[in-house]
Amino acid sequence: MIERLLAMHAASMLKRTLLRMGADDVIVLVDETKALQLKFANNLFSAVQSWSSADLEVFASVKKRCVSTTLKMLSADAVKQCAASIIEFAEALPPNDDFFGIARGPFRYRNIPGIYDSRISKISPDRIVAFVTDALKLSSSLGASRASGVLDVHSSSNFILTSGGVKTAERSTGVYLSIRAFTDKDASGHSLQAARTLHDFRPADSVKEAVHYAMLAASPKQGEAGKYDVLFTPLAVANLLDYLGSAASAFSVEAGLSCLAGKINKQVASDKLTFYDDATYPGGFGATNFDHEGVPTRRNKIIDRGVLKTYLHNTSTAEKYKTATTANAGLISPEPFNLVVEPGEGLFDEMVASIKHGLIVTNLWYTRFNNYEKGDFSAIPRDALLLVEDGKVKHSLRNLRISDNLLRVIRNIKAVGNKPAQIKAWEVETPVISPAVLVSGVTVTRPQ
Amino acid sequence: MVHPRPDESLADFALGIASQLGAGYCEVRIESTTSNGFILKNGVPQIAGFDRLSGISVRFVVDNALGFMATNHLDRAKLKSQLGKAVKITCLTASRSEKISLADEKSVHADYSVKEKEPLSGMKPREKLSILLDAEKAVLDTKANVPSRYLSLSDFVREKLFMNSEGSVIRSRIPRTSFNYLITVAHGDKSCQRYQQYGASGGFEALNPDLPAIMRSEVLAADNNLRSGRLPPEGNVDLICAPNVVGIMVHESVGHPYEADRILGREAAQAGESFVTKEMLNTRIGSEAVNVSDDPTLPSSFGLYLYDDEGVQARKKRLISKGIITEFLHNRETAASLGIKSNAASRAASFEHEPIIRMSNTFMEPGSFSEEELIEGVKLGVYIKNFMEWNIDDRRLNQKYVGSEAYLIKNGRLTTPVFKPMIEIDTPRLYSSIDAVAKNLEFSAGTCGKGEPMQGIPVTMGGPSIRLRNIRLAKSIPNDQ
Repeated sequence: MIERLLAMHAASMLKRTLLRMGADDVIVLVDETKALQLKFANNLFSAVQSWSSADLEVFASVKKRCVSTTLKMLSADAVKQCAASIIEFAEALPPNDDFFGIARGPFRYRNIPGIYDSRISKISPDRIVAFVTDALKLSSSLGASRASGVLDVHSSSNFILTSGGVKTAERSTGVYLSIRAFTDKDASGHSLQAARTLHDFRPADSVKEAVHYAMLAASPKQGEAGKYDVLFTPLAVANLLDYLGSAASAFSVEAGLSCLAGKINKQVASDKLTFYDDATYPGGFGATNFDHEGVPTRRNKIIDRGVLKTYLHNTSTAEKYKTATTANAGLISPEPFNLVVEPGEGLFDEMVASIKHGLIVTNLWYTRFNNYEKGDFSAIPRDALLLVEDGKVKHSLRNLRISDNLLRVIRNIKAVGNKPAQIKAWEVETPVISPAVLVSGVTVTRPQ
Repeated sequence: MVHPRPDESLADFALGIASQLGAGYCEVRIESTTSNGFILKNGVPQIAGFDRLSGISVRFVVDNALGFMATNHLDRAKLKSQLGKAVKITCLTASRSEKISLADEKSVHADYSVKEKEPLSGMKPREKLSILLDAEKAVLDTKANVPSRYLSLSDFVREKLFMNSEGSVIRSRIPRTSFNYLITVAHGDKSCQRYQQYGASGGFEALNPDLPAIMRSEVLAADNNLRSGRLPPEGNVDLICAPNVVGIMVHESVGHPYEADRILGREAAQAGESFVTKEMLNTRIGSEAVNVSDDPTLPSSFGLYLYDDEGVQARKKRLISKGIITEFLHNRETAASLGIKSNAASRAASFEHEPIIRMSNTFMEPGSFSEEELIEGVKLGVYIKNFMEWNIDDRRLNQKYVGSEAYLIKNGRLTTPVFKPMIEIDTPRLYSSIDAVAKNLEFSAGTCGKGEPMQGIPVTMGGPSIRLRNIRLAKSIPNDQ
């Protein structure tokens, strides 16, 4: 609490000092986080890690020259030195003609439900350890020969102060389990639980899913290249949707990192796909009350029944694109917070039954783009990869690669499941809430 | 702003507290990092920034279990409190913990720094930004259609103090620079992209001095490829892969699978495991021509260090010698489990991260041929100079590399450009297909990701040009159609 008060005082002093020294816009973000991670491998704990940090991030513009820094020392002298360094640094730069200022508040905020749980911030060490030991016992009892993963618990306190009249704060918590169960060297299943409250945290569900897939993955055969209908489970499709969400940032559009450039109001996907960035999603792992300019967050429909409706903006990119901010400001560029696919009507088993010749992909990794603007990419199925023939799972496969185009994949969505899952994974940076998604005619390749 | 030098008395204090709390082994890292960064997007300077960060981490073994804590509060009372909590919860895991033992090491007293001929602190922000503006100008001067240009430059100096309960005290100061670009070159409806990172340790003299020439060459080659590139030849052909491609190959399918923590399963839920088992040591994985090493001591390299983050003196590791697997990458924990000494591959991205097994500068050792001789030995094949897309499965067997700048080889001579030749091959076949290695050793920089929380760490990867016989080249997938 004392650190927080010190940081808030330093933030206030820094803002005043910077404005007095000639800054036009100032944003100060204070983030205080405590986190704990239990890492386990081969059914044993392999490390216990804990962190405690307080960061004071600063953004300032001086005559359209934009500078960011992080301040750790909170004394009056340190604040003055930091302000002087920012001004000196800014004066040495040419102007950023893409910068049009920050949002003007003050704003009213609604309190997003389900992003803070006081029980997590006070959780006992014994209970945290028990989450893992219980998960390992359950995975063994269900038939896994070994399991690896992490359990993370964190609580954060954030405060923002801007020259646009913003002064607000929020608290958040999170608890996360990632478990990869093995029934053999080549047979594994991976599942995750990402929750902001203990009420929403159901580790046993993830253990059961990971072991279930590990069982199905037993005795994999070499797969063949070709075209397949692919049913992506939530974990697998989240990997691709994370890239699609990033591609919606106006910054990505300009940097050559987006296959959505020039496609506003165009049909970019199947009409089965409605895709949001929703920082207000109750219990969303990336949900937050305000963006990094302090603008109240909202639900932004990026793709509506296949039609691209908007890019994600901060105040500056919105001005450039002659629209309003979508409240997606990061200090450098607009970013998605919490990506959401609108559930469809597909029952998982019915979607499997509808596949004549296809695959179930339960995890995807190492997605790399040959051309971000065109959307050409490849990615590798990991863990259980199942061959489906005439609506039935035949056996597991190995050693295949999805080599296709992101726009073609979303255009070929045949069905969207009715049961969303929240995903935050090692390779899914922005939290994604999505059901399983069935895509027709996906190109699959194999090595020589 | 004056940045305090890492404080030995604070490290001593942490070691003392850990010992009082029952830790049998303990190590402390205190770091101070100064950094600057600049972004130029389509010719417009975006945000620029500077940071001066410091913090402390303590890693310890208590009741044979491994614990770690990190904080940027350098206050002793807070450090003592957090360390107490960290030890307590680590003890709670001990009954179901891997029994940690560390390979023996002598205590070390060392103090080293990488010299800067052109100190990073001596260059003003505008001068640093001018490096990007010059590169941008070189791109525009080609008159090719380059609709998006994303260029970034960063420099950082890390001062580190390492101390452990065995008496080691190691101070280091390593400055590094990094330049990255992503450019899109278009011609009609076709386009291609190139991403590349350059990085080095040292002052600004260590960064490639001719970045404008590199950018110009990239754009002209991409434009030529778009205008005149043909599909790669059908069937199996011979390949010449240039240093940039060889570097990523050895990083992905030699360096990573030889990390002993992956072999032993510790990263199973993150970066994955390995097709390599400890029993495969001293067995054949490639042809006699294949020699691959990892060497953190290479001067001016991006991946340079002289002592790892467990205080072990760095040395060159020979991962493959004449096609035989000869060494894995180890920390003290994995070395102990195999009954050997650590070879100093333990690195942490910052004080906030636990040290884990990482590569440094991984490369194929040069052979005796010239690149021209390799090409002359190919009747029909493809020369691949660099790449864009690549990936590999999490056991490091099934890999793909898609060429960017590439040329058809006919009767020993380079002819027309080839559009996106795609190698998709398994690891033993890749290294068994190499029949000749040139002597033109070159390195590329990269930021390698591993661990949870993710740790991006500076590395280089390289090699000379190599010749592979009888390889199937897949055609690239056409753009969105």
